[in-house]
Amino acid sequence: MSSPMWITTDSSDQQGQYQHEQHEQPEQPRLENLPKEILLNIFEFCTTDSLQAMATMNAEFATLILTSFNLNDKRLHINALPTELLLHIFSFLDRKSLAQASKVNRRFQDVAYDDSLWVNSARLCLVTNTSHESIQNRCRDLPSARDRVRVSRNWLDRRYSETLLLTQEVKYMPRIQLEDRHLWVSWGNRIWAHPRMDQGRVKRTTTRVLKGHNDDVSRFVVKNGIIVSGGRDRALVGWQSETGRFLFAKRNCHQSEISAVDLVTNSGVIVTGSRDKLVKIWSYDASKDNFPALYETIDTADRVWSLEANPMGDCVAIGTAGWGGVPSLHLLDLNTTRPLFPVSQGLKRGAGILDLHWMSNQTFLSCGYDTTARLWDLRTGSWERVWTEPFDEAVYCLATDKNMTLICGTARHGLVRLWDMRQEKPVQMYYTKHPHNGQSSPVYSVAFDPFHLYVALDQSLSLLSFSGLDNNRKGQYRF
Amino acid sequence: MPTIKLQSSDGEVFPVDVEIAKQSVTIKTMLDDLGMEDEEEEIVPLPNVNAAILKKVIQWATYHKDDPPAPEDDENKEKRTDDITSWDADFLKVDQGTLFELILASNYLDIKGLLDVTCKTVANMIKGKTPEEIRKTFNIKNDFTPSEEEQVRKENEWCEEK
Repeated sequence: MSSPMWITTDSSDQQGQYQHEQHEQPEQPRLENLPKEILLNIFEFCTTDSLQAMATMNAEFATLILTSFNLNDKRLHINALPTELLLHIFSFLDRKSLAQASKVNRRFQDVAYDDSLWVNSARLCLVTNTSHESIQNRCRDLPSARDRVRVSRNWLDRRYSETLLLTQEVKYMPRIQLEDRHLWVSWGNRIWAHPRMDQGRVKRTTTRVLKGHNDDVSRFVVKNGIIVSGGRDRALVGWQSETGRFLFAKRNCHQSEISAVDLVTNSGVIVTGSRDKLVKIWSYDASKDNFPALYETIDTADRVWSLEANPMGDCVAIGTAGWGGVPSLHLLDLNTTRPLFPVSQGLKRGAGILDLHWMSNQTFLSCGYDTTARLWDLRTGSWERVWTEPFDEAVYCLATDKNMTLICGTARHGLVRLWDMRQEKPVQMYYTKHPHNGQSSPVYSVAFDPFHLYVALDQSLSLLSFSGLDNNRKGQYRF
Repeated sequence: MPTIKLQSSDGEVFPVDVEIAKQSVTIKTMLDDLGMEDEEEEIVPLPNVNAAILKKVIQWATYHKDDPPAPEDDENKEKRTDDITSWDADFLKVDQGTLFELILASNYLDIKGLLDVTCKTVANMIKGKTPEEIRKTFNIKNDFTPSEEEQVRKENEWCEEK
């Protein structure tokens, strides 16, 4: 179209007719000899580019073209469409066509990657959709909607790369907690802090190691800038999480190992549970340098294995061993320190609860020896959903995005199971490699963000990265 | 039936039934807000639409004057592009420039039905084509460096599976 040659040849027929009428010249017909109306007719069919090219040919053409056509008006080309309209066009493309379109040029790529085209699918993506505020705050940087769709597929299709972050000589029962600035891990009587980096990865090296226990740490919690841990040495120890400054060590809190601990948000209350079958409530004011003071003791009549307070801080869910006819799930009203109604209908004898996480102020997840994870609701007083581990393994730990993703760590072979809480059937499973070939370990603790899964086994901490990014070459994709 | 006069950017005036013109939310708002309906001889200037395009828009709106109002977009539903009626398909057998001008005009005049059908038509011109074919179709220059091109190819591999 842009070649003037094309115009000449194509219009030669018409040109011939008119020449006879007007000039009767035997010489070669020429485009510029055509009458104005005909030229304008021809020009109507030309693109802006070819018009511009022809306008440069001679002054007559230039006057004609410039007076009849608005050449500054670039709307004739798709590039001239504003981005919002290109987005509207692209909104009618399926994912495959969108992929082809993004390879056309930079502008098409920008438009095809725009969040608005992906946000609806991203909202439905397992693991990566991170709609809950507390989970969003924990993420280092929120991925784009397109990346959330892409990485969610990697979780579902089991495409990931596995890295051993560290190994231990001795077998422990580590716990991990992911927080916006650090990944905290307990190894033996110490708590290690791995700083988090871009895209949610963590450094292998620790910036801080907290010491204060004489024996292994059983459980710890990081909240409101404070770390509180309970250990087999029956001690309760506290530090500032930002500085690592030691705050207190309260020895002999229980008759036996402290097996569960939580810090109640906003109320300065610490709750501990122990193998001595007691739950103790401690008041602690972080602004004053003082010791936690005991103000209530509750007898659960069974060994306590797990506990967590709801976000509002008015209720504590307590998981016990499930022996001696005592139901394994207890609820404690923190305002009255009285037990709430019993909730453990359907839990068998010995169905000890190993881990608990609140989803909201009324709902929480539990998991344990009965090989299930369950969702409980205070409003109905019973469990609403159950997810049964297909390999008949006890479920040692769980992590959730408080939306629809549930990740469970099981008792053997480093097996981690991914659940969509809207479905009965599991979505995917991941076997974490043990540093020593042929050995099998329970998954003692799991944590995840949209791109990464952290798994703690008896002798190792592993990172499963689903981002597909090549860490050695910035911005490069591997899958 | 009351008519109003629409004036194109190049000064041409088109008398149109009010009910037909009101398919444009822009014109409807103008008439409702300013009460322009009362004054018989009022001319509505449309500085962003030239006569040729305005003529096409009026032609489309006249044909579609009895259409039921467009349903709200369902965000979670995949959008279809194979539901263009044969009249619309024939109506849109125009050169690309006109098609893009129709998109701009229907966006400015806020005529959802026309905007959707024109955008669908462009989407159909993209669908099923390779990047090179898309470039040829729309006369687009490839401004990627070879390494960028390789990168964007990798970034899109996952979209092309299944």
